[in-house]
Amino acid sequence: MSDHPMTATCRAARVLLVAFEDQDNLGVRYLASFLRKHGHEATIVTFGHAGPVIEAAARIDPDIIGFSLIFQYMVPEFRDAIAEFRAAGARGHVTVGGHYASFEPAALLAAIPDLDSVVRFEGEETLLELATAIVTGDDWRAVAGIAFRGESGVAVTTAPRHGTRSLDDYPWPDRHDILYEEQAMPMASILGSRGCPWQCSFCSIITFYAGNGTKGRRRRDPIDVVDEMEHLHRDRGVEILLWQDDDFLGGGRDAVRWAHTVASESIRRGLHHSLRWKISCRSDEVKVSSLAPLVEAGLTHVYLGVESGDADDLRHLNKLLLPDVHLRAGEALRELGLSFDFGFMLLQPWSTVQSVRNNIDFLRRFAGDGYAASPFCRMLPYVGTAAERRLRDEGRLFEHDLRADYLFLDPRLDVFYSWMLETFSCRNFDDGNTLSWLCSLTFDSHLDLPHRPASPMFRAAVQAVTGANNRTAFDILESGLDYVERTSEPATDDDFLQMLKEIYHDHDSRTRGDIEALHAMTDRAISANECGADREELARLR
Amino acid sequence: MPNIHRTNRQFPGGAQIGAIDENIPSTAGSPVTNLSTDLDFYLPNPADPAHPLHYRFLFWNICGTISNDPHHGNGTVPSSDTVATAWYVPVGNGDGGAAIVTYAFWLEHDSVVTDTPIQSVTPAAAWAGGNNTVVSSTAGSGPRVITARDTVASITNANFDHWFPLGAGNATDAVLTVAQGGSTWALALYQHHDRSGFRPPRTDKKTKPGPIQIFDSGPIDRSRMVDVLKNAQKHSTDRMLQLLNKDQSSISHDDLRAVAVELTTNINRMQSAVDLINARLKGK
Repeated sequence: MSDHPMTATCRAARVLLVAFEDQDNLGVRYLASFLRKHGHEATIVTFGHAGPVIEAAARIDPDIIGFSLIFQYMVPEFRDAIAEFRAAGARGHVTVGGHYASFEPAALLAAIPDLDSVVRFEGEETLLELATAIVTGDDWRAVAGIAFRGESGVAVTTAPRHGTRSLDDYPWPDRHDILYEEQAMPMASILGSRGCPWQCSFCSIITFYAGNGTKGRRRRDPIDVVDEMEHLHRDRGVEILLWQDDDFLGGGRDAVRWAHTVASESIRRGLHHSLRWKISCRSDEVKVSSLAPLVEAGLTHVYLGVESGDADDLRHLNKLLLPDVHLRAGEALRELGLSFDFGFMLLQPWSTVQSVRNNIDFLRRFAGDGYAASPFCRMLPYVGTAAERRLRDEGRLFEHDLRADYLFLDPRLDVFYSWMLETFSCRNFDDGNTLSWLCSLTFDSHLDLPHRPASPMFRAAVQAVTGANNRTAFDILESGLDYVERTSEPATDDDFLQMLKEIYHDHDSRTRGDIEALHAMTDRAISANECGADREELARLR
Repeated sequence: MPNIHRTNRQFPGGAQIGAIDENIPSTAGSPVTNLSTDLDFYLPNPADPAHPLHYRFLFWNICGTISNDPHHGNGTVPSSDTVATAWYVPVGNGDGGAAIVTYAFWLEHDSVVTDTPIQSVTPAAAWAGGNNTVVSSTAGSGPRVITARDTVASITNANFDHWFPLGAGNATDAVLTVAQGGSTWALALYQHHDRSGFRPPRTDKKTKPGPIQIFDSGPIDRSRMVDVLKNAQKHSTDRMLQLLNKDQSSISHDDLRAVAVELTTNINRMQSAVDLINARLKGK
């Protein structure tokens, strides 16, 4: 790090980082630890509304306030919070980072008048240099990897920054303020790598890291990764690790060997007794031989990037695989006894009625048994993706309130999609939606810890409830699709589509009743098991 | 004549526990005095029959009045249907950590909502802000002074009324004070100030009991199954009856298709019930 500005000759910068944090936000936590390593002060506050930010700013008097913007639809909320924060008299340089900010700094600077700069792409070195420049009085506008409003009001972007190749230069993410010890089931996020070797058209991961001049997937030293796992488990009481690697097995045989090293080292240290994992990967990486060592080390759940079950869709999405590969992956996961959930885009910009029908047929085969709760949504054209560029080139992309949108090539699918959103919002999209409950129950039903052994009957019950809900959703999707196909000018408020909506909502209510009953079961099981657990034995295993 | 819906429920999720589920006809304005429930409550444990499930009484919500004496639950019957709920917690389910766990409790709905009731905490280091409901007892120094929000997003048309600590702590107006190192659960109670608006909980609930829960052969599940079977048939039957009562010439293919879809949803549920029975028979 000798090429980084030193802080020995200047006072420490006070940096306030503001971020959403449903799960540990490793993005800002890596920033915080990196700043601290270089002598600055960093405080993280969760973004919900302006109040806590203003309160923290009044306490800290920060030199920099850095906002982590994950989704572009949040821009208006960030704009209002920053304005409120300024109106409360807060000083300090306001900057924003994240995917959308990195790709569209000019739009963001135009949308948020109180914003001073944008940190583009990976932010560790850039934010460090920005903080140092601000407290030393140097010209922060010369820092590489940022954008700001020039004198004429037009956005200026500085020279691109070349990120570090080795992630081992970064300290572990700062977690001192996370109260794992007070969580009923302590769960931590962890990163073994950054980047992805694939080039799916709907995803901006590859272009985001390309913005830093890095390619593919950079993996950490597996022994250092296990050191962090061990710390989280033994010192912080964490029982579940949520690997945030976009593709835990991405990168061919080397990547599988790396994953196996992490697994064998964690077994050697005895972590597998009472530490469980969740990973994300692609279907063509799911092989019993690749996953079995990870299962032995504690893997319990896999998020699978399925995306589509139609061959043409998969080609448009540049997934470079066929639907059968997904089906085989599902079989392998069942054979290994792992729970899984998956991403699925029932519709994408080049969908046809037939491709949607193929997708529904696929879902019946893939998840009709309820082994996994089935999501379905539409592909969103995120900035920085090949799909967004293609839509723009085709003249089909339109924007409102900083949100990109498109219509389908077949207008009947626009009706179908609007109806689908209305009908399944309670299942797939609203806060506290039914799908998220089913997914968490599925996860829970496979979780096998010494003080909380899995119950085969509970697992069977969750699968039964999920299966009934999945199949009903597929039936209703198919009936809706049949209707828009056979009707000359369908509309979402047509009686038949509204009847289907009512029928689903009625079924959804019953599913929620089932979910309540399942929760009552799991609460009983947990309390019974905790009563009987030998805590000394657990402590020994740790 | 308003009914009092008497149940036992598990805190904080609200799942009904045990078989008590009755409507008691009552007179508006009359007092409910000394309603009694067991301090300790046991249920058969299907996962481990040798160790019954053990619940410990937490508090009463009787017609919107909260109290923590299991044998002397009191309240006043409003003009519309109301509740008498004994809230319990499973024994052995506590985290035992040094923390103050807060819950926003909506009296009229007899339920906990997920929003934090916390507006601010002194010392600030003890609370992570946002929607966090937990206050550390160890971070920072001095007593924890927790100020409640007057309103929370999930509770409409109601305001903070008072704190009800279930363990350590003293409450004055919107401020709950807990000594450093103390741990407790605390309810922040929200209610409509116009008590005539007291609404019975769960009659407006969007959930219904499900048929899949067939593991516990105790009476509660049998009664649930009966309800579920009734519910499962009701809508299709209604739609079928509507269809039969229609002028036959006006029945469209779409009418018939809708009935078919609705019946299929019931078949899906019944199929799942059969799958589950088969799983049990195979000893999964």
